[in-house]
Amino acid sequence: MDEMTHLLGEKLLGAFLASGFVRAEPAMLQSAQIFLEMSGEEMRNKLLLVSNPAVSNLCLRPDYTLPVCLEYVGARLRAAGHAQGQAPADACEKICYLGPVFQMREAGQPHCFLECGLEDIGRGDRAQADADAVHLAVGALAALSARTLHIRYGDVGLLNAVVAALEFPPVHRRFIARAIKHNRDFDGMLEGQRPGGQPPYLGVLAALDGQSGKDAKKLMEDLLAIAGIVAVGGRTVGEIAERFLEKAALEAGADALADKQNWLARFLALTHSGDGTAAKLLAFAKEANIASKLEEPLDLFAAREVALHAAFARQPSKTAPVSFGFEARFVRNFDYYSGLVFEAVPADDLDGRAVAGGGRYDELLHKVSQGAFSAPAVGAAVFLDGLAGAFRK
Amino acid sequence: MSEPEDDFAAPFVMGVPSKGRLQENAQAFFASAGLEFVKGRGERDYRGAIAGFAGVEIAFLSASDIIGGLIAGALHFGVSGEDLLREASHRASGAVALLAPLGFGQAHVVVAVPKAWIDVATMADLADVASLCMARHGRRLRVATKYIALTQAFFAAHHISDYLIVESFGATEGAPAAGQADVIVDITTTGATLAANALKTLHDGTILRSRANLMAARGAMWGKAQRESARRLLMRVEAAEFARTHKLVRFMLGQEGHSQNGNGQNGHEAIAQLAATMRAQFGAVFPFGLPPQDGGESAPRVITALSPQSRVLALCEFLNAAGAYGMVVESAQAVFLQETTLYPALCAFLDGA
Repeated sequence: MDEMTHLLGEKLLGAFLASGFVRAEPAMLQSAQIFLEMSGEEMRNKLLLVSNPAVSNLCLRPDYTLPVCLEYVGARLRAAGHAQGQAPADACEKICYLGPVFQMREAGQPHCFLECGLEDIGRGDRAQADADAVHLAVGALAALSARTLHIRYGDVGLLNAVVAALEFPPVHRRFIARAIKHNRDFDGMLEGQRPGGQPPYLGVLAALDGQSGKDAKKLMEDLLAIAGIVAVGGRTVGEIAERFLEKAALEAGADALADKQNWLARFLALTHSGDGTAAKLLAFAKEANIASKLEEPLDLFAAREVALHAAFARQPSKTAPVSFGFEARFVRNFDYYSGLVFEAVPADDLDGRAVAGGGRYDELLHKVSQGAFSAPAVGAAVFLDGLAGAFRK
Repeated sequence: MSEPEDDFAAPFVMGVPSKGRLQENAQAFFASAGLEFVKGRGERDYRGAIAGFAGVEIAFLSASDIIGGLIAGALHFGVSGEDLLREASHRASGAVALLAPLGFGQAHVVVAVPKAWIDVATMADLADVASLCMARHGRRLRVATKYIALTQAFFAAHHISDYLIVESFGATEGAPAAGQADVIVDITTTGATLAANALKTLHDGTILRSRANLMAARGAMWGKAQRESARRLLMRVEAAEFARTHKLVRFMLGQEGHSQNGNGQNGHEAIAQLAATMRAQFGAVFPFGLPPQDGGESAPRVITALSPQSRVLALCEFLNAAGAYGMVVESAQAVFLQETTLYPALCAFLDGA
């Protein structure tokens, strides 16, 4: 890593420190398990694992967000413990970091690069907090840059709200989430759920026809018990019965499905450059007749748009310009984020690797603390990976 | 890269499974080719040789270690399962070739779930259950397996990412009942073990159809001596394999039972035509060639042909209709044809791209 990159990192960190963020230094060696649990199997091949006869399952940190959050949650819980059983005080923390992270890239290439970023934890004014995070990270980068930056962004919270508002059956809602995560189309939404076209166990379904949800489930559970089926492999008999009935119910609602699929497809195709995105989204919601169910996420979106506009309007004249492009389909790591999601790329290389990225993850602290602690959080990181060449001092 | 002309320092080594059905079957296979394995002196000696066949060292190893040995170039040849090679493929990357399936060790690598999951029949169902697991319990579906690479690739192809692999190197079928995992990816032959553990396979859950194979490693020390050992070994193997998969048919075509071919062709032409049909329709091969042109000789002629086992009886019917008689179908012990395929294939692999 060259001097120019280090210098750039120091300057960015300086900007974060000047805005009231405090530097954290989490360990370079982390437990691999937490990363696997958060991100699943795809992470296994990205992690650089450390092995030694005495320890197993350690890795070099692939990013900062999880280590920072783990450290933060640990400290808050310890502090709460010392305060004689009191619940942790409202957590409001501004954390920043600068240092190397390690990942295995494609073709078996171990890779190390400098990451400089921030986490803003606990703020209730989400729209402003989002705007601040983006402005701090990308704005600071733009101030040091000779190249125009483009911010590509989406809103996972809004997307989830749209899917919920369209009232898809549970099986399809889960299918949609997977399709979005893997960037697939929704073809085969119905077909994929059953082989060969005929629903299984027609006799049972006929017997259940007309039963209320609770009765049907009880009947299913009894049938399974009679057949001697015991809970095996982490699913209860109740869960099996419930999903069996969910699948059976798919047959009934088949007609309305095409309509909902259409609205969802139209939403996912929405893009917009610059200002006025909130208005466009509201117009769509009204047309789809779901505006009343989307009030909260749409208000948040609008407030954030105003805050972002205001923040970037205040950029000093010498900084490189920054353009914005909303893409409804842009989700980055779908399970991780709960709201704003963004990436910054050079405007002349839109398909290239992102130079910065981040978003809002209100569920993350709850997950890493295994339910002990909860707080809203938004973060942004700059990936100082071969950037130096493009930037002036 | 210069090849050592006469290399005593680097013997030709073949890895052979050291235990289980693979070991028994591999031993029987090579024995039928006249190649009996002999263990080294002392119980703990994992090296051996082939009785009466100089120039080959046998290394008795586990099926997985054989794959590792081939990839590392410590073995020239090895007998192991396709499943293990494909699992290691990202490390192997073209360094190991499958030379010949050996007719045993057929098994499938499959995704298996508890029989109790009556709502799950396909990978799409499994994807849904994985999402549910995440949403309801905040944890990932656990998959017990030793086939990490195969599982990752298969699940990714079916767009399942909400899962975690739990490494399991033995008794994988017991993992769900023991609470260590929800589902498994394992190798199965009859499916009996899965059934005994109250597990079932999914309609589209077969990852790989595997067989035991004779494999070759590009990275081993291949000098003239090693190639010669390989050639001799492959010649025996190919001869035994050909004999195993083909039957001998001896039949007579003489003046009496002369093939009545209505075109009034003479003896030799008629035989040539018959032979052509036998080759084309029944995959026949004539190891001793066809009877020479005799110009009018009237003695009955014995013709010997080899035909794939599955087609030999149909061939006999055809011959019968064509006027042949005295048909005898036999098994051969070994068949050494002039043109071999295994050694040329090995050379192409070692010398080619």
